[in-house]
Amino acid sequence: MIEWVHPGLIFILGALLIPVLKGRWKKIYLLLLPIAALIDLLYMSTSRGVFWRIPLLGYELVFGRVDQLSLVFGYVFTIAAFCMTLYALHVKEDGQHVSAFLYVGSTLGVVFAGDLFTLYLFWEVMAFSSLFLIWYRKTKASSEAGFRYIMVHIFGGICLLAGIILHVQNTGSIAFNSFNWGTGWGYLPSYLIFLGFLINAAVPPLHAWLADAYPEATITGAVFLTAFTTKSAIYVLIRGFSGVEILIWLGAIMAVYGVIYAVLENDIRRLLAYHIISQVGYMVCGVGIGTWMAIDGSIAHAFCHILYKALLFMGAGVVIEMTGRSKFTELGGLYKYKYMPLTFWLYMIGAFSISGFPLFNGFVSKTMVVEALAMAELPIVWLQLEGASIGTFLHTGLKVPYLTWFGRRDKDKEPVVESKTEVVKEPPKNMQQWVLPHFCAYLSVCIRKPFTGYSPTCGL
Amino acid sequence: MGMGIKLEQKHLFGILYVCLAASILADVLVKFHGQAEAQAHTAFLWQTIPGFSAIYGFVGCVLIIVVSKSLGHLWLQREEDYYEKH
Repeated sequence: MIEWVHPGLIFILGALLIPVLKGRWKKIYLLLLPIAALIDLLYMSTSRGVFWRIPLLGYELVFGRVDQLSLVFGYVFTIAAFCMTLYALHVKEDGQHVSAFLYVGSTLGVVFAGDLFTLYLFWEVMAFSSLFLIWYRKTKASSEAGFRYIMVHIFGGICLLAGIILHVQNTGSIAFNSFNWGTGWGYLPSYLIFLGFLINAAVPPLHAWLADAYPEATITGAVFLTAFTTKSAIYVLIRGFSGVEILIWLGAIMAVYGVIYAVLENDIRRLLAYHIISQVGYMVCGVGIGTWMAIDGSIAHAFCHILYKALLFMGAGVVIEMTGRSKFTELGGLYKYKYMPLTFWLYMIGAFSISGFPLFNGFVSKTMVVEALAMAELPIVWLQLEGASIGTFLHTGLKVPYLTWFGRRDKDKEPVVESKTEVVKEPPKNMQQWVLPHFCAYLSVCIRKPFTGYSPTCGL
Repeated sequence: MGMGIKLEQKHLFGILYVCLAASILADVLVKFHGQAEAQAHTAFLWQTIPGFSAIYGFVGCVLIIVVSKSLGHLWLQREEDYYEKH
């Protein structure tokens, strides 16, 4: 007898009740769901193995594959979902909450999927539910960007499905484990599945959807988007393709690529979106190396990245919400004239984390990945990732805060934000993110202990 | 939290210079205090140069900005309303 429910089910079924509740009850319910899922996960963590097996058409679907790897991703997704829901409490449109919860639930479904059919089902639900987080912005740009987003993801899903079908034909089993890798047409199923995963991980040249769609999403929806699609792609890459060498090079190129594009960006969230590509490059690189240090580093980096990227997007979202502008050429002076000093400090915690400052969680995870490169004797890649780190601090730690909160070179006397009709002040209490910064700082103190021993090859 | 702290541009530069000095100092101290461990931990030749991280950081920043801006102006970038006009 299993004592726990699939955590994804809590979110997916729970989402159905959201339109029914009103007012304060709805808000309490919205916050209770991630907490319930977290308690559920704590129950789950006492067991290991495969659960929730459902026979279908002669195969056996596995909805609950519980091991260290899936648990750690499950934890961070649920914690992040709680913080993001808190951030989005003020949103009145029920559809946004329902989409977000379907998105989180299906991501948890992907994480705990033990077989390829279940993986594919939840993969598609993820794509379509996240689409609405973009479309709810209801601007022309966002409807077009959402359309492009779903086109790319449908293509990725079809590649994945094709690969799965060929794989099942070849091997006769639908179990989701490491895929065979080599060169030649015999490995076509692996290549197709790999392609499907790469699209969700936003690996260049398949990355354009990320920087295109994320800045056009709703203020609160974009925060959800940053965490789940790309990191679940990392999870499936670790599960299926760890140690595949080409990932090292793809990851290194990704890391630098995102940074170069970010230099040229004027929109605050688009710059941060390019940095998502850059940071995911670290994780992809770690997956490619495949040693225990590298995989642990990738998982640690995914864990930390979800937390600090959400924090950064929350800060940027707050600025956009309160000022109505998202371009650097139109922002400035928000700290100097006492408009949003608190947001500045909270944002900077995220900026320090992404840059890998000591005492913040990025320091632990980035060092693990980079050290894995040193251990594997890959100097060029080491230099590339370190270079990406330089660019990351340059943009997220210096350019964004300076241009948004301090002056600009030419007009530095007057605040760019006019306060004629609307007073620009600190956002409402729920958007003042307090929980996440604590996680960012706390995890650095824990050092490596929570992050060791997760790679599937460790035999856990 | 930090609401009352006055933060001017000169304060920012001061803080950054202090951080730079502290990090170079830390690098030098770590390398020269534990010579044997330092050799064992470094996988690459350039890690033995004191202050390497600061130098690489500076060179990297300049390179990133120069390369990205020139790539952008010469080839990559379009005007902001490119997609509305075409």
